[in-house]
Amino acid sequence: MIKFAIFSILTIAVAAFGLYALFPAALKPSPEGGRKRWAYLFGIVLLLEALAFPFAAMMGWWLPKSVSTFSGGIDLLFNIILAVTGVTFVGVGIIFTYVLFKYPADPNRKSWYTHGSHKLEMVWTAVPAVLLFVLAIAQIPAWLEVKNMGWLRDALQAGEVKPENRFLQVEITARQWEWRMRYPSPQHIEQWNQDGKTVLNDVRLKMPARPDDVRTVNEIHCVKGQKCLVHLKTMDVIHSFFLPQMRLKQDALPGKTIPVWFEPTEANCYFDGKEWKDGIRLERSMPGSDGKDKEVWVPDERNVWELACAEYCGARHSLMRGKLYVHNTQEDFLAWLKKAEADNQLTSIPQTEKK
Amino acid sequence: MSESTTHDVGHEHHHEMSFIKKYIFSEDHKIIGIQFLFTGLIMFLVGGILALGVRTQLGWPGQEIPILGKLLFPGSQGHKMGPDFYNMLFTMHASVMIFFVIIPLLTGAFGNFLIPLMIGAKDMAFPKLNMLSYWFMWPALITILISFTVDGGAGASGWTAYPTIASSTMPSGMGYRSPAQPGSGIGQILWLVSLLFVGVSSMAGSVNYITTIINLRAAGMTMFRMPLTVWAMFITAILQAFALPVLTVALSLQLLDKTIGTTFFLPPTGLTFGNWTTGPGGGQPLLWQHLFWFYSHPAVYIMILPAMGMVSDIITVFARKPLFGYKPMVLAIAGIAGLGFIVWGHHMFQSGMDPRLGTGFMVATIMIALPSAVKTFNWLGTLYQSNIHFTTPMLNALAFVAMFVIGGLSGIFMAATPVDIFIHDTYFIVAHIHYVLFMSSVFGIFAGITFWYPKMFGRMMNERWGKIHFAITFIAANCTFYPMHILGVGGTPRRYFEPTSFDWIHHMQPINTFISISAFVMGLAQLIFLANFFYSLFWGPKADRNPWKSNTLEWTAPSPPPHGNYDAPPIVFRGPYEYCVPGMEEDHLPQSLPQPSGVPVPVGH
Repeated sequence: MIKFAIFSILTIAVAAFGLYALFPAALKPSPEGGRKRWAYLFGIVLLLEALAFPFAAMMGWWLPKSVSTFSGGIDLLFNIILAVTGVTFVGVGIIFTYVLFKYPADPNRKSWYTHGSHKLEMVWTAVPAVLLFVLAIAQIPAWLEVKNMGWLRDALQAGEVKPENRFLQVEITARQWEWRMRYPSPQHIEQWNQDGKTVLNDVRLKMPARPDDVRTVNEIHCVKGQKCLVHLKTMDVIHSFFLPQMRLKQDALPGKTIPVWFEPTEANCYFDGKEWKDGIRLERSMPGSDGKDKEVWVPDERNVWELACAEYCGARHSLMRGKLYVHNTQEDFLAWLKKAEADNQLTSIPQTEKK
Repeated sequence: MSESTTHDVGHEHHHEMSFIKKYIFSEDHKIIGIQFLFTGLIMFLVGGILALGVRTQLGWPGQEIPILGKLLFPGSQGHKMGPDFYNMLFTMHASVMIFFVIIPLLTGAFGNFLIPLMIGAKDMAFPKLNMLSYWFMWPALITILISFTVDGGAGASGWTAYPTIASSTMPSGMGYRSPAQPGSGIGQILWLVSLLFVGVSSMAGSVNYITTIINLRAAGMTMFRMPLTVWAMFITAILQAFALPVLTVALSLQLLDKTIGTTFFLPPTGLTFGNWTTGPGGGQPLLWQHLFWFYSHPAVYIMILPAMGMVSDIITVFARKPLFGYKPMVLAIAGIAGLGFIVWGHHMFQSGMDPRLGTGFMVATIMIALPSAVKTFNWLGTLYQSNIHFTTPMLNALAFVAMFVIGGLSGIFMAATPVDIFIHDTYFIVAHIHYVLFMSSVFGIFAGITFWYPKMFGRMMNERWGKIHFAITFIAANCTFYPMHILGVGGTPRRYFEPTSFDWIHHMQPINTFISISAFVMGLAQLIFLANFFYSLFWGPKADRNPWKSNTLEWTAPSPPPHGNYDAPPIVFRGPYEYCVPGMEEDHLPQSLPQPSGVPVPVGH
């Protein structure tokens, strides 16, 4: 509320100053009185817009927490582009305002009669060209890392998955308006761990359905430090799988299964004895008295991670909310999976339920 | 320049015409331009009201709407807007603004009015085709307006109308209702039909513009003596002529899918909506996106290039200085248009298209910043050491330049594919398109209307109210669209009915409220413009032939120009930007004035 008050007051102050600077000029058409005031108007608006970004960052209106292996690279690129465009914006803004300030009509002065400068044109074509080209080429690896999945191609080529590279597979099917997840059973995961061939076969066949699969709705569970490969599908219209904290977005296309992956670097849930709770952060692990590591968890509202739909999909598009639970260890994840399997056997999800 | 003699003769007989022939079914390019102008302005009002509806929901989600809520959403809905209504609003806002406001105003109104006048022609090459082009807007307008009243309401699948939400149909025998959402039924069919009509209108116009500019230029008007407005219109018309057939194909395919049950956009696996499934299809939803964006990306340039041209002309007039770098400016327009054809994939980075294809589109997209930067630098060069007269058209043109910088720079973020993963389909995109389409194109349109108003109607607009309108619009529009960048950086997805439904965005709701208040201020300020426009139509001071002391040919004709435009066929001696020529008393040297003695002819002009 206080933040909003500061924000409103600042805006009103700016608007008031703008109007003060402006209106005498607007209402008095004399060339002398306020002819520089339009330069002020443009200058002030451009200045405030330049300041809006740091101000927003200060207010916490900024990129959500970044917790996947590739999110850091994306944020870095965002910040580089912000810096480059910011400097350009400020530079152009200063020149623009200066020119308006310096050259209002003056009957005693004649404009500079020129049709341009070949040299200048070359400079301001070549310099941005080089800059933009470098910017374009430099970002290709980050993009391919996220979307081209070299690690999976390598594994498929090699025909095996090393124990340290084990990954989880989930099938996520979007529909109006929920996310349906299908996990392998704990037994099947065990089989994966025994045999890399089975895993890759499941990758190739896009995780064929098995009777012992575990199904959940609107909840993704995965493990910290382990890649999660999602086979993304949709039953009806185009949806988009958006995990803002992972910096991941991928449309789900009707008739296609699109592979997409992420690897969380932080956990956000723990078992409180009854259920799995998110919105919590692992502060540290320390050796406990019984020789096992003791985990210290603290509540953190920035650790509620959501799954949203980012491609317009109909009436409840904005309510297609899923949650992401990142477990701290593989054991935690398996514990959850076993519980979910037991729940599944109690209440099977009807396939044709319409919300 | 081979002028068609037949239509010259035709014009001689036009002097005594009935009111209907003169002002309604007119073949005169100026009347047709003005018809487009009025239609566009009325639809601008409609589109603006739709936008304010969207802002009402986003600023105060789930609140009862005073007064209007009682009318639109009776008792059972609790005077609150529902999601289907909201979805219809944003869809129709974009559709109306793009297809019925910006394109008809820029190419229809200004293209028609200015091209013959600026190149020294008596009329368009094909006056009847021109009339047809305007009258094809009417079936389009009527269909789109009727679609608000049909069962399920107007189209609601976004202006992009992606399959399968737009294209899926009920099994045969169950009517035209859509299983995906109410608005994708008859409303969507009418939307498609309407856009097909708009397409015919645009195509007729662009063929006419290209022919006119190539064939009907006055004696001495070489291509490189044309004002930038004409250059921009020329290149825009080429863009339109090449891109539009693809949209027509896409619209027709979706229309067939929706009406006679073809499956161009239905995947082989079929779809499952709740309790029933469609049969298997044989198509691909992604096909639509490729076809649609192959038109709609060039369309973005169709919506900005003419404004760039007009702004270049207006700036030179009020800066009293030759345009800095005329040929680079022309090349930049051509460069933007050329690159515009190979960047459509940047709308589809997250669509499931092969990611390696994305890198190619990304490089092309980033390079498009280059001609845009060249244009900006040249505008700054033009303003440097000039004499700036801060008139209403000049202020709007300056706003275009300043705001286009923001729209251009924010484009680099989304062109960068890794960053786009995060900001795709967020408010960052909404901010970007509005900086290009509202802050640039619409300010360009304001500049154009206020600048050529004396030529169109023979009267001047009120300067004081023009400036007040500009100042309020400029401040309010920046307050409306700039904070959307921040919402986008925070990750707010676009097209959300409930902006507070997610934990990671709901703390930014104050920004949404602020944007909505600004939007209402901006909307109200447009009433000033309308009042000024219509008041000046009847009571504005009479304008003489050349009130702004401009060089281009249209200002040598009477205001407003009669049929046939000029007293005598003009002869062109030089380029359009000879201001403050050394050795001259006057600070402008019109294109059709023979070279005064003692003034050196500049090299290359």
